[in-house]
Amino acid sequence: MEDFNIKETSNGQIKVLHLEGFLDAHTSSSLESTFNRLIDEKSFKVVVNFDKLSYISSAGLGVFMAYIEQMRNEQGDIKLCEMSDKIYNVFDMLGFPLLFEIYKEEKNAIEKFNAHD
Amino acid sequence: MDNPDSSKKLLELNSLIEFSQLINSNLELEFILGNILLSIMGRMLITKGMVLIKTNSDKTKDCFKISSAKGITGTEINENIECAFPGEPVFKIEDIDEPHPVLKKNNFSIFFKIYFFNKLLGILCLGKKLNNRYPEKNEIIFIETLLNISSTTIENSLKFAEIKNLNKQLNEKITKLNSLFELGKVFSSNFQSIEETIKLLRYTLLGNYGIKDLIIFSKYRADNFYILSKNTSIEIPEEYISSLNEIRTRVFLKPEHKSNFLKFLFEKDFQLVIPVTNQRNEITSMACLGKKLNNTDYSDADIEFLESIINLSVLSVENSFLFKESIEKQALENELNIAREIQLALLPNSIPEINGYQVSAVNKPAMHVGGDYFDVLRLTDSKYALVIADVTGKGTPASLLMANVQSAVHSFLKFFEDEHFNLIDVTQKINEVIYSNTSSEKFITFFWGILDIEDGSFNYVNAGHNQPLLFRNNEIIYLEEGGLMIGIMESGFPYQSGKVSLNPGDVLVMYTDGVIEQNDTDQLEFGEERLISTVTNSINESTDIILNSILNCVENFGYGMKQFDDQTLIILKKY
Repeated sequence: MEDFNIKETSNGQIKVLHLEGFLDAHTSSSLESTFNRLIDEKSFKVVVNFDKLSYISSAGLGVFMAYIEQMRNEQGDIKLCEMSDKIYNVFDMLGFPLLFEIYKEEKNAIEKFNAHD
Repeated sequence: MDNPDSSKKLLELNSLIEFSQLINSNLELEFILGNILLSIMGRMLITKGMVLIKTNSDKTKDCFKISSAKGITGTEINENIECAFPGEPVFKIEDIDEPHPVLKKNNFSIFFKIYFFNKLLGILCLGKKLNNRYPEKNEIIFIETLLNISSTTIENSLKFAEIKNLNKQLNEKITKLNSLFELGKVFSSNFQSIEETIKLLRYTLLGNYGIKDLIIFSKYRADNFYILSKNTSIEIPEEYISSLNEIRTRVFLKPEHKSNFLKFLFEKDFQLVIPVTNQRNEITSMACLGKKLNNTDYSDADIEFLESIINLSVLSVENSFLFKESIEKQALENELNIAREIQLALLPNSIPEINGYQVSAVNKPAMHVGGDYFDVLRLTDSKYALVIADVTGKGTPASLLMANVQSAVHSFLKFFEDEHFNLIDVTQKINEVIYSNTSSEKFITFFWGILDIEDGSFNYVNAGHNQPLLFRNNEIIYLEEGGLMIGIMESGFPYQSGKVSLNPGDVLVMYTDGVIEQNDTDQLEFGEERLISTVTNSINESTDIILNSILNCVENFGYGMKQFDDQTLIILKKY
C-alpha cells in the first residue's frame, strides 16, 4: 500500500491540510477522519494543499464531495490549491471546478477566505 | 491522448479496474460500501450517498440496515429501517409509494438495487448531482457496472460477517463451557474452602457478565435461610429473609412485586433470583444477582449458564460443608483410635505360666474403645490373680473407667502381702475408688479370684459379673458369691467371697457379656447354653483350643452381623 500523510497547519481560523502521497480507497479514511475532527472542532474553513499529492482516485475525490455541503452549511468551505497538472486534469475532467474553488497558490485560497470576513 | 473524450474513457476504465482490485482485497463490509459510495460520489459530483443492506425477507415490507452513509449528518449507521421499494432495478424517489423519512430528509433522489444473481442484497441511495440533475444514461450504466462488480464482494462480506458473528457466538459458548469446565474441576476438589468457592463464583460472574452484586442465601443444615455470602453493603432486614421460603422458581425482579423483599431487592438494583435445588429437589440455596455491566437484560442462554454455575458452586459449598463435617468426624475417630491403643496397652501382653495349669485369654474389641478388662497376674510363687471386668456403656467414658479399674487393681496387688491380704476388703476398697471417680449411673461388673497352686484353691469375689462357669466332669458350678457391681454405692453392703477347690480336669470359663450377647441375623442371642455346649464339646482339649472353639462358634453364630460389644474370655484348666 502506498503512503499517505496529512500535515495540518493553521492560518488564523483557517485550517490548511497538506496532502502527501497516494489518496485512494485505502487512505481515504484518514482524510475522512480529519474532516470529521475539524467539524467537531468547528473548523469549517479548510484549505487543502495538493502540492505533494502524487495520486488521487475516485474514492479520494468522493471524500471532498461528502464534506463540501456540511462545511458550506456552517458558513465554511473546502478550497483546493497547488494541484499538479496531472491531479488538476482528473478534477477538471470530472467537473469539480464547477463545485469547488481551485487556486494555484495556497495564499490565494487563504486571501479568499479572509476577503469574505 | 489529447482527445478529452478518450482520456475520460481511459480514466473511467482505470478507476473500474482499480475499484475491482480494491474491493476484492478486503472483506470488511464497511470498507467495501464506503468505497462504492466515495467512488461514485467522486465521479458523479454527488454529495450524498447511502447503502441499505437487506436484513430479512419479510413478505410485506423489506427491512434494511443503513450500512454505510457519506455526506449526510444526523443519520445513525446501523439504524434499521422498513421500506417497500418498487420492482425496477433503478428508480427515483417519486417512484416510491411511501418513502422512509431518512430518504426524504437527506434528499436522496435516485436508487439502484444491488443484486447478487437474483437475490436482492441492498439499495444504493444517491442524492442529485451538483447541477441538480439526475445522472446521464452512460453514468447510470457506469454505476450499474460498478455495482455488478461489487455484488459478489458484498455477498461474500455479508457471509463473512455472518460467519464472524457465528464464530463469535461459538467462542462465547466455548468460553462459557470452559468456565463451567474449569469451575467443575476446581469445585470437585474437596480441598476447596467455602470462601474460595464463592470467590471463584464471583470472579466467574464478573468475568463473563460483569455482574458485581451477588447475595447467596443458604438453608443448608438449618431450618431457615441465612446469608451465606454477600458482597454489597446493603443491609437485609431479618424479617425479609423468611419470605424466601415462598420462592419456588426463578424470579425476574420487577417493581410490581407484592413481596416486600423482592421489591426491596429490585430497588437495590438486583435483577434476578435463582433458587438452587439439591438432588431431592428441595430448595437449599437462593442466589440474587445484580445487573450486568452492559445493563442488558439476562437472555435465556445467560440464565442457562448462570443456573449451571450457581448450581455447581452451591453444590460445591455444600460438599465443603460435608467434607468439613467428615474431617471433624475423622479427627474424632483418630482420637478414639488413639484411646483404643492406650486401652489395649492396659491389657496384659503376655500371660504368666502357672505351674500345673493352662491359661488362655483373649480380648476381642468391638469398634473403638470399649470397657472390657481382664488380667492374669503373678503375685507370689504360688499365688496368681485372675481378673475380668466389664464397664457399662461404651466409648471414651467407659474406657476411662476401665483404665481406672486397671490401675486400682494393679495398685492394690502391688502391695500384696499374703498374710494381710483380704479379697473382700480390697474389693470394697476398689469399689470406693471407682465410686468416687464416677457418677452413679456408671458401674462395673467385676470378678476376680486368687488361685493358690499349692492347694488348688480359688478364692473369688463376684461383683455383679456374668457368673464364671466351672466345668467339673458333667457338672457346672457357677461362681456367684460376691455382691453388687462396683461403683454404684460407696458402702453399706458387704461383699462376700466364694471358694472352690480345683480338681485335675476342671475347666474354669470367665467371660464378658459380649460373648453371649452376640446376635445372629434373626436377632437371637448366642446365650449361655450355646457357650456351655461349646465348652463341653471341647472339654478334653487344651485351653487354647477351647478358647478358639468358643470364638469360632460365636463368630459363626453372628455371621453377617456386626460385633456389637467387646468379647473377653479367660480359660483356666487344671491338669
